[in-house]
Amino acid sequence: MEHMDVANPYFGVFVLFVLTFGAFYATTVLARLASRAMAAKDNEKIKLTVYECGPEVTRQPNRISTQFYLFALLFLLFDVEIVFMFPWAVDFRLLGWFGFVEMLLFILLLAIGFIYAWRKGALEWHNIK
Amino acid sequence: MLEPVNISLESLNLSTLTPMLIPIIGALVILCIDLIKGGLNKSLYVMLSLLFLLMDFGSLVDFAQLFSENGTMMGFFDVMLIDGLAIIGQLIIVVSSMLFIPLSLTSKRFHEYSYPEFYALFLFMIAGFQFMVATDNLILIFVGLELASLALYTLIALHNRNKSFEAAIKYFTMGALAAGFFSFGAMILYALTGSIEINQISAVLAADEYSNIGFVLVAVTFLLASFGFKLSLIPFHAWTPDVYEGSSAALAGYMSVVPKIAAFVVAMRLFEFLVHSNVVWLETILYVLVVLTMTLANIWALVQSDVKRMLAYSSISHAGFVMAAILIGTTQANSALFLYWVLFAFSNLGAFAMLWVNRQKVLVAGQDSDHPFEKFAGLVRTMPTAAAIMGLFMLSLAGLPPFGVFWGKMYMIASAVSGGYTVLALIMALNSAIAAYYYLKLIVFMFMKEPVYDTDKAIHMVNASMPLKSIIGFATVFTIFSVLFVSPLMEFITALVYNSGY
Repeated sequence: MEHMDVANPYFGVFVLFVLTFGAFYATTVLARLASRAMAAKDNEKIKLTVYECGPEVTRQPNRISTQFYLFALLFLLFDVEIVFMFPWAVDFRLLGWFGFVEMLLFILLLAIGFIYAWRKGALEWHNIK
Repeated sequence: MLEPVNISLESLNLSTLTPMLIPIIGALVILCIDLIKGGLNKSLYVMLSLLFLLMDFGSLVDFAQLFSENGTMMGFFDVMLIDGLAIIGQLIIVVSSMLFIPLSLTSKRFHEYSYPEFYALFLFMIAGFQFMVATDNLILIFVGLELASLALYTLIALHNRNKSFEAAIKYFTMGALAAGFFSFGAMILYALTGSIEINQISAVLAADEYSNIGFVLVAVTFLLASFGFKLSLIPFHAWTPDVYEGSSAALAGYMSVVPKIAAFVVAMRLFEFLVHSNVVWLETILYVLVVLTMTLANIWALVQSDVKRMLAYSSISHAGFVMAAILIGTTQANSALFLYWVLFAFSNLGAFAMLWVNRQKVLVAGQDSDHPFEKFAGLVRTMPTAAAIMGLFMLSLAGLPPFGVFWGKMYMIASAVSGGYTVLALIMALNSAIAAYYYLKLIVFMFMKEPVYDTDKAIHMVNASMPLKSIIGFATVFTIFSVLFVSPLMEFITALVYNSGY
């Protein structure tokens, strides 16, 4: 469990920073290339209107369906969960049983939230048509 | 190789978490019950919430006993702090929550109460407020504040009218700003002292004799602004009347009592050591804030045409009155703060419950808000009892002896005089006189005017059901007979406050 000896204790963070920068750029470029190559290019009339999968503008003034917000919230929930779980997993042996029980409680709380969201249908895409 | 961390459970003192864990578990149980079997009657959820709050109350009484024997308890890596302030603060929070939750058993159907989420959020909110008062760790205060506030915004919006969405958005924006200010202030204090625990911060600041006075001032300004928003002190009050008007009367009454006592406890922990340091000038700033809040809110309340908005301004004025205790800073003043708030909680509970009882779903012709003064005109003709009870709560809020709030005002002014703030005491007394005008205005409307709207008497009792009537009856009894238990209550509070060193 020893860390590498470098002059600055934050050197590792810096390396990670640079790597993320590169990785992020590469992912976006790749995604763009892939979607360009693979997208079905049919320009029907409805597809080129203001917003393709929303209903008429009069019924829904904001153009983004609220379901995106639900997904974003759920994503945030599990994103933060990973942020907590990762350092715990790295120091699993150090923290021992105490850490294990703490993490189980944490996951239990999140699991109740997740089951709640699931049962309430937050994970299904409700088709507006 | 590092050694595995060995933490003995005794040193964690996990029992200090029980009062907060009970409502959290209660909220999860309510959510799970809804998942297993949906569509249950709301009275089940009300009773479950009451049950968990009762258990919470029991554990707090237990802690009060332990505190009188062993003194302050720390727990959970010294993050939890159970001292006298924490115990009274939580007792006030839990008891007022127990009294406000049955107000959801109305005879008319309001759809927010049919969701089990309402009760789950309510219990989460209580846990948040409890965390806020039972710690001196700035991070946990922040987490508790946000847990409670986010639940509260949602509860307001659940009322599902345009005005309540507006209220929720306004409250959310202001609350987010306040949270930002709080974190700025806490950050600067951490940068200065290297600690996030209030007693550590005060020790470090005193040890180097406030040498970084500029930074301390900036931090204090941020923190004062954030508490100004939460306590609706002038000039941070602008959201209050709109939010009260938009939310249901039951929730508005709740908002005028519980979030404020939590913020008062935190402000007391945070500002007490700064007020009398003679270097931070907080005393002067607080003096101005207190006087402005008391006076201006009273003057605005005079011109309101809606009873709920009038009560909103009156609650701002009462908050300013009580904030004076933090300025004075003696044990007597701090105990008077809690006594005042208990008595105010019961009078306000009664007044808002009376508004809630006559909240009709469809406004009659010529009525432009839910509770205009005209609605109560000539109430004594149609319903003498309701008029008398409403009048009683108004007299109590105005501070007429021997009703509830009078004793709070008396102790508060006495502590101002004995703390050497004679001018402040004079201003407080003058403000009570101004306040009497708008409380008596409602009484004049009820007892001396002819009815304005041509309706049957049903609109004044449209929501009344047995639980609501019992809550109002309870508040009435408490307000009338407060004279009997004010001094034992004051003794109990003073012992707790004194033993925790405030």
